[in-house]
Amino acid sequence: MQTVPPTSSPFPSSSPSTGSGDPVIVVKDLSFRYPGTDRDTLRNVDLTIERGDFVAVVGGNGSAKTTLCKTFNGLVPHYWNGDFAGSVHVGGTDTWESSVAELSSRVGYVYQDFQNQLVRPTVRDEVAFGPLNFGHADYRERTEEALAQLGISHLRDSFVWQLSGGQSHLVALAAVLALRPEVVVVDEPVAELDPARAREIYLRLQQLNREHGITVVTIEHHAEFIAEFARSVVLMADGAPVWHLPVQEAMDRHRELEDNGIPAPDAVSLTAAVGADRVALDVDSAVPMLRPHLRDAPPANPAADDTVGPEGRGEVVASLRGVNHGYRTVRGDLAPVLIDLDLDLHAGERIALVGTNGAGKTTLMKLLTGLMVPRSGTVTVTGIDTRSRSAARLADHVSYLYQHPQRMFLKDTVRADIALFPAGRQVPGRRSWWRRCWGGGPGGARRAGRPQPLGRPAAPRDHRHRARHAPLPAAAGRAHLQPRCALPRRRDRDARLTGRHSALRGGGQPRHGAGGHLGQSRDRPGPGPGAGRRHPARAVRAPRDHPPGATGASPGRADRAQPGHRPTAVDRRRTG
Amino acid sequence: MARKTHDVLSVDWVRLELLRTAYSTRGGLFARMDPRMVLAWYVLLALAPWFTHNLTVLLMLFGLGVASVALARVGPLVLGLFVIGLGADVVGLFLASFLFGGNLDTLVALAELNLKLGAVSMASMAAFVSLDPEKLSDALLALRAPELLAFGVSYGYRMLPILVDEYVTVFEGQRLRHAPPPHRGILGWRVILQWCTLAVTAFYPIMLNTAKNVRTTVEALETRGFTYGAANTSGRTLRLAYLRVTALDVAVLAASALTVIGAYWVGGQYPLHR
Repeated sequence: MQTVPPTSSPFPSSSPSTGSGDPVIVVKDLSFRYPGTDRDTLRNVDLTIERGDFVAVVGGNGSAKTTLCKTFNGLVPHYWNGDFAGSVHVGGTDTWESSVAELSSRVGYVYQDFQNQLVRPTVRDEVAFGPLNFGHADYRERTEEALAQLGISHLRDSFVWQLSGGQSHLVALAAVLALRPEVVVVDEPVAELDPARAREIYLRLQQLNREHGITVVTIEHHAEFIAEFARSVVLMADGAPVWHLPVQEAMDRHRELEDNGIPAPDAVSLTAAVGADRVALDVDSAVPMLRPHLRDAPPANPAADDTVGPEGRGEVVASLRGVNHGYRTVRGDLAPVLIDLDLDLHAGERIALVGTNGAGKTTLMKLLTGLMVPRSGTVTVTGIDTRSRSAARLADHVSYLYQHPQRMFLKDTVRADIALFPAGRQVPGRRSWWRRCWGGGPGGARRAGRPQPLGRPAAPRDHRHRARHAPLPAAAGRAHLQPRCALPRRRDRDARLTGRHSALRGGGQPRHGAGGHLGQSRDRPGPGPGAGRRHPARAVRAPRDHPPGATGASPGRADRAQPGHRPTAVDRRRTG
Repeated sequence: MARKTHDVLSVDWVRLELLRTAYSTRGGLFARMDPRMVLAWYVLLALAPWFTHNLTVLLMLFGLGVASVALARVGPLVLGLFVIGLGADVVGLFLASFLFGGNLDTLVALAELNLKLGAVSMASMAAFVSLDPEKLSDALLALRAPELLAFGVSYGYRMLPILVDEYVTVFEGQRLRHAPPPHRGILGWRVILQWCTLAVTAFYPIMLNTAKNVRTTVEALETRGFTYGAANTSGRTLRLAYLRVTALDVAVLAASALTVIGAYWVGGQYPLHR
């Protein structure tokens, strides 16, 4: 197992000692360039993945992790056309000679936005879809087997829209497993799931890896999952692997990971802080290493106690009294969500609302904003009973950010979208506020660093809710306005396009103009045939049906460029 | 006016009704039948009214339609829309004819058309409320419809609840961020106008979001052999192997055919024409 680093890498190549010496994926000298770009997305990648390995692919935004993984199942180059040089072998098969359909039974791919991967109405049909398409007579057994492997057999008759996020992910994974692949690629499972569900996914993946010998490749940003579950780690930077190391050695290089946007988990950073040679990968192994450094707890300081009695709090800005709420199900019965809830929220408080799926977090938010009124009980916000006012009028006092930012964009441009609320409501002081935001005053834009797309607050995937007495702009919430203020040059961009890029590319982080294929998709929003490109017909269909040779490109691998010069994908494009 | 949570005639109710209708969660006679036979039954009842001007026959076919709607357990939303639609049609046509010098006789004259429309609509409701997306797409596949059409039908059903959810979210966002009209106007017409405007403009973000989401879907379809399956028929055979015509199917189809024939016979005995 070897990884040849790109010339820019300061680190020597190194081979993880996991694996059995039986490579399942061999990437050699691979470069790939999306059409319409002047830069290779993948640059001279050399990578070997052993059969039975559990690989975490990590790296900063736009380091081409997803593109790399899409070369494993042939989506690159058979689906995404572009300039492809080098080779990828999966189980000995050259992906260039193969097709997406053929490779799919070797490599399964679970997308980051896995909800869109589910194409059939029921779970059973969804899982059986692949085996049926490929005409496997044992599709029923495959379906049952895949569901059983993930422990979701009880869901088989559910409709896909009834599933929670975690369940949807498992179903997407089961649908992939039903083709009995050797390799499963999972793109950022944590991005759309709460930590407990994400852990469950990882436990299932670990089980598949250990008990069924399936090679697992995950794209991951969360080092705690990497440390706990992965066997080896590939660090990607700028379109090429920097190194591929066993997880212990990878975590020993936690500073380097941190530089690439992967903060170390507590066990790693604590054991590193006490000077351990080999950092601990999980809490259990960290404990004995940290114990010698324990000190007696300082005496409790009553003044530092930040739990304040009711008399010390600010005035009540929102209160719920005897609130009951629930929803009708498709079957017609009432599913209670909030039961006899009493709650007071005080001015100036910062409250984190936590709970599992279905615990009623969103319901509580919607009751506070007046989008819904409770079935019984009263909700009072800034002294106003929500029953007495429409949600639109209550919005002068309460604002609400949705979980999915792209659903909030209502106007064409960032400027119009932001102006919608203050201009529509004639908020006093909106002009000066406006100037501060766009004009790039002393704070605002510059301070926020790199531009952020609209609607991505600093801590993403989080319902925020701020009740304020003051009308907007304050009501929009400081955390909300800050990133928005970082957009002076983007004011006339299409807000939704901007958001789409970030929402699709990023796990939780905003990734704007980060390169990669979706960064370019503004110009070419689909994988259609590239007009004026060298391989016009190599688009949606597998090249077996439409061989690129038939389109006029000469067959045969393009010559490698001269030594000393770093060839790009275009120089040594593979055409036949 | 205090706001309350409504279980019917609310957005949530419409959403649930759509789901119940689309996924035939209420069961009913036709839901237990082979989907191909349901389609055959539908063709029979949808064509039968168009071959006569005899009001006796049409009244009996209309009655058959009412019976099928009851047997198929059609939900209140679809039924309500049908009744409103048919009623508005009758009233509208009558008003139009009245303006041009007609009288109450015009209503009778219009009965033929409305009976026909009603009978066909009720057969459609009964059939499609009873077919869940998988069954419908399998039936289309079995009847040699193109693979893409059959898939499109089931995918449309799969997207429906998600699109409705997304629409509700966008619409809520619109309501929160657009200023309410300062004056309600007569009968609140300003409020209604704004509501309608927002209801339409809320589609715009959804279209863009869907365009983005579908990209993953198309890739996923490719990896799961959809284009491969379209070119190779073994998958189709496997998928449709479960379809069986049972005694129930034959009985329902025969009973319907006999009723239609009976209606034409009775109509021949006691013709009622305009």
